[in-house]
Amino acid sequence: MKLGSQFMIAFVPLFLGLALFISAVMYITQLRECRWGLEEQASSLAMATARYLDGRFQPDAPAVETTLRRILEWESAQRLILVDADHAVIYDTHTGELPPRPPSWSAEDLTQGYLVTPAQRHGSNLLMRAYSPLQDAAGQRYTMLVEISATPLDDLHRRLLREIAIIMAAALCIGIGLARLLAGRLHHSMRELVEAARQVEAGHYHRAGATSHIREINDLGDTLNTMSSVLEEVIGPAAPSDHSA
Amino acid sequence: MAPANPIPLQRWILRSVMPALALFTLLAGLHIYRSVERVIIDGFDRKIYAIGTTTASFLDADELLDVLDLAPAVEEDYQRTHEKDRYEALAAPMRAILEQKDITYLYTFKLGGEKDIIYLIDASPEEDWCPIGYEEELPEQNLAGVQQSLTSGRAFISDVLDFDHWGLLKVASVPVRNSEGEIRAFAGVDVNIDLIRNKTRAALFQTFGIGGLALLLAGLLSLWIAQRVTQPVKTLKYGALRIAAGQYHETLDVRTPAELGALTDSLNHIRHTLQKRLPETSDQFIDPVQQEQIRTLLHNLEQSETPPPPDLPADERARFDQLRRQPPFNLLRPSECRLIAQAAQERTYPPGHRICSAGKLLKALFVVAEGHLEYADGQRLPPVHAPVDLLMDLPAEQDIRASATQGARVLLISKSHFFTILNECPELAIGFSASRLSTEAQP
Repeated sequence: MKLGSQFMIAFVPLFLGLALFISAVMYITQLRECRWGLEEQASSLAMATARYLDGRFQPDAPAVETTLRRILEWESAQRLILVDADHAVIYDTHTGELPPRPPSWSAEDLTQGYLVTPAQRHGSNLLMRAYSPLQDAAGQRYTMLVEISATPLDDLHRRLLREIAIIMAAALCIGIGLARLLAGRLHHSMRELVEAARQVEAGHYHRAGATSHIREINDLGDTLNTMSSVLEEVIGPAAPSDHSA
Repeated sequence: MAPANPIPLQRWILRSVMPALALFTLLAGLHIYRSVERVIIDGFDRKIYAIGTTTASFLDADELLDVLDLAPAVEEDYQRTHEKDRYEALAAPMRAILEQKDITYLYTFKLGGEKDIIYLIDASPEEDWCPIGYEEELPEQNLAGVQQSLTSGRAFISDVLDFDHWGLLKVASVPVRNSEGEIRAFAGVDVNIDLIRNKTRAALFQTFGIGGLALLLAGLLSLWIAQRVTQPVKTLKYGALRIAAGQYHETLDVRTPAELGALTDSLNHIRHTLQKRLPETSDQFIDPVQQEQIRTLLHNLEQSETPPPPDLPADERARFDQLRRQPPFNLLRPSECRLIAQAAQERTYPPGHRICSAGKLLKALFVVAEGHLEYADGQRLPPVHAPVDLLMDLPAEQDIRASATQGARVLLISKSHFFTILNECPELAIGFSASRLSTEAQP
């Protein structure tokens, strides 16, 4: 196997591995932070809506629905639903299938005043839901349910795949370039060594061996010099080899 | 002419690869950091936008402006202001949101007054609270954004801005309408840059921590790669040394990398040619002068490679110096000699002390530092005794004892260490065989 191939086999996977590792970190970190942002958006909408309604709304008051529709106009939420304790709809800004009941509330959820479910795909939509508990003026329990679009996760996913492809391509280029550069420089030094060895082989013991800025190559060159000096003294200068003959 | 300071192949490879790895990791790390920061800031934008728009949707601008009537009565007092039902009814849900959603400020204001804005309801705790009618100047960019918001009816989210009194903030200003749909007030949501920085810093540490780890792993891998490339060169070097020392029996078999294959072929051909010519030259070749010349050449070659190791402890230094004076250990690199000095044990034997009985196997190599060793019949032993006996597991021919007159101080190198050393430093084997040839050549 040639030096170039050996370096290529070593360095290309090294850089590709590093790029893969970095890409994985980039992918995981960015998707996690994007998910966090969407959770904050959904939970803020659900929790803020619930706090403004909490303890002060009448279930039959039309102002509530008007306000919920006004929130929709800001295009932050996709759907707002107020359900009672039996999961019956009180207000819903859209018609259609009712999202599932809120998962059971943990003490932590109740303390922070909201609960967010992971993004789920519904047809072509990726949706994230947030729930926040509240009471009406009479003390009856309700849940404010907000749906937001989580398509930024899909957009980010696509963008990250493009970036990962670019990073991997860059790593491949650097790995190949570096392998060729190093192999080329070593190859040059080694060729001089081979030439020096051939001179010794041909009986030209007085010829100087190759020198290099790399110690091992230089040492090998020195060793060839040493060997040729010793051979010159032991065998004599006129000793053509079988090969040269 | 040889370069002044040739560098080891491993270091040469690492010097080329590590900067490339580091630069690649750094650039990728910076890209990740910037991307993550953008995603985090985008998340904060979503949050303050959601809270601001929800607040604006629930509030009526005229109702908000009405609280200005309370200003003279409450005289900028926190308690007295919050005791007013009209104020508290609007402030209570805002306060709950502020506490539960980990934002810095939530408030309402209107444009105008002697400065830029006039505060209406503020959900902040007492130490940060702005009383009704409190006026404030806004940074230019923020004021322009709010004015733009007034005409467009859209929410405005600022970049991170420096507020004189409040520090670095990211602000969302959302227009609040009255029942006629007129924009007469704004809901403001601020998040302190520290919250963003803390989150970004955590991402930064994770990114660069993992990047550093990846770099370390990549560095170790490239070290391993460098070692793999170095090994065949070393093998050839020792092969050439063996040929120079007159050992022609071992065929070299270095085929990888292919560039060294031609060199291997040349060396093997030289070895083969010399092997055939050996009967003609052997008498000349075992001449002690020639052997000394080989040793000197090898010694000079090895000496030129490495400087002596610094900071040796005194006792180790003494053993090191002793070994460096003693052929064939003088062929070794200082670093190799130091390792042997560390492994060696020093013993002093009184005159005539029996060290090994006849017929027993030797357990160590003896390197005499002072005095000498001798057989029971008085025959003096060489200063390095007895590498071949150790290698071949030969028992002592006679009792070995310290000099009957001087005693002996010796360095002991255990059998297992001796085998390891021979394996790691083949030039020692060359030296031992050269010494043996030289000894046998003497009449």
